[in-house]
Amino acid sequence: MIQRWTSKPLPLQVGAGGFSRVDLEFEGVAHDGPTFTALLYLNNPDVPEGAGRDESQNFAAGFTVFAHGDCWGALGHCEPLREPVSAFDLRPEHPLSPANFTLDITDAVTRLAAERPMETVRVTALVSSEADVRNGLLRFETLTLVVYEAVSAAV
Amino acid sequence: MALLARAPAQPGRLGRLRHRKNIGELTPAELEALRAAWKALVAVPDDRGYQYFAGWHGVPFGWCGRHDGDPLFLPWHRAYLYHFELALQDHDRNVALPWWDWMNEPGIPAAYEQRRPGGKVNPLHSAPIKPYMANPQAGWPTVTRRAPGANTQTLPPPLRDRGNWVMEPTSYTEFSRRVTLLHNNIHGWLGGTMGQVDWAAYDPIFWAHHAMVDRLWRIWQHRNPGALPAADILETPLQLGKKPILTVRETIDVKRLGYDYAGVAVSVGGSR
Repeated sequence: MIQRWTSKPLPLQVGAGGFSRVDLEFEGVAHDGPTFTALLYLNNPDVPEGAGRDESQNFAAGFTVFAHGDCWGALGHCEPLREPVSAFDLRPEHPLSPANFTLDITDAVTRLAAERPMETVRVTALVSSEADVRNGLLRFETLTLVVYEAVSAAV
Repeated sequence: MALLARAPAQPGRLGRLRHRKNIGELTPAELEALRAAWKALVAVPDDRGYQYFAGWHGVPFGWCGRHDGDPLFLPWHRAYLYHFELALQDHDRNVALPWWDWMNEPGIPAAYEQRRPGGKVNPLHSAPIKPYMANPQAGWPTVTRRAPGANTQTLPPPLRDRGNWVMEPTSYTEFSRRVTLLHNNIHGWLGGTMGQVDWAAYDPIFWAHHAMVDRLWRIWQHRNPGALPAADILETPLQLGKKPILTVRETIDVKRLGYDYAGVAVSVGGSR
């Protein structure tokens, strides 16, 4: 079963010198459930479920989140929001603390921008898993579009 | 004379590097030896055995860290394989962990796929799951299983068209991020036990998968001599269940850990 998520439009702000790299950063991704794979498409919210990595469907990048599966401990075992108990608490963060994933989408943006001007980017994620779950595979806090400007020849 | 008295019971030379090989290129005798050592390791019920080491990754110990580009990902798993390989060598000091070449070969290697090669149970096909010193809970798996391709959006091996992409970075951080993504994809593609952090290391193929990841790091090191993880993690001790508790720096040189990944290694006797 494929799950779908589409972002709001993200402004693509590129300086006069163009860009050298464009990333999508998924921050705060939950990995406490089934392992899943997200394929990302740009400005194609109606991308069909079976699009795969088809560039003609504006495929940009994909990533698999290797997740932990069901919680096997007692109450609180898989609660990632553990705060340090004191300034002397040097223990590492909880294994289920949300993760960050950075995807390089430079090639896709370059390709699409060559076809027509891009002022915004909407990201659609098609999300799948081996597990038979209806929703909630891709849970995250923030999606950021990061544009690295090209070094100007005048510098 | 004292040295002779402490000579190992099995053949093998102290101080000699082991060369990890492609599982598909082991000789029949090497594969048989690996399976025999594996079977012996699985039979050990205490903190020298398979269940104990499998438990470091997920249930019950959970020391593997993160799989999202964490710079400790490669060093921790290198140290993990180092300890596991030593435990295997307790049973046959001539065996080394093989690697699964999912860059170039499709599907699951035959050595891990066969259930009963030659009429004998294949310990590389599956393993029992009996977490060390833990009380089994409802819903826990009791034996490993695989579901290759069940997650339809993962990339099936071979991933050779990602070879240049993963080797391209010259910074450790970026290489680590990219190789982690390939690694995650293989876990997701194989599914089943390997598809969950908490249970993955119980599947015998986990070790060949991570030997491949470790090998990619070694190849990348050859291409980028001297390239290190960030300075602020080099002295970080890795969370392991047995001494030596290696630091990140102590994982950089595989030869210090007693192995390498040479495709071909031929030796002749010395002068004495």
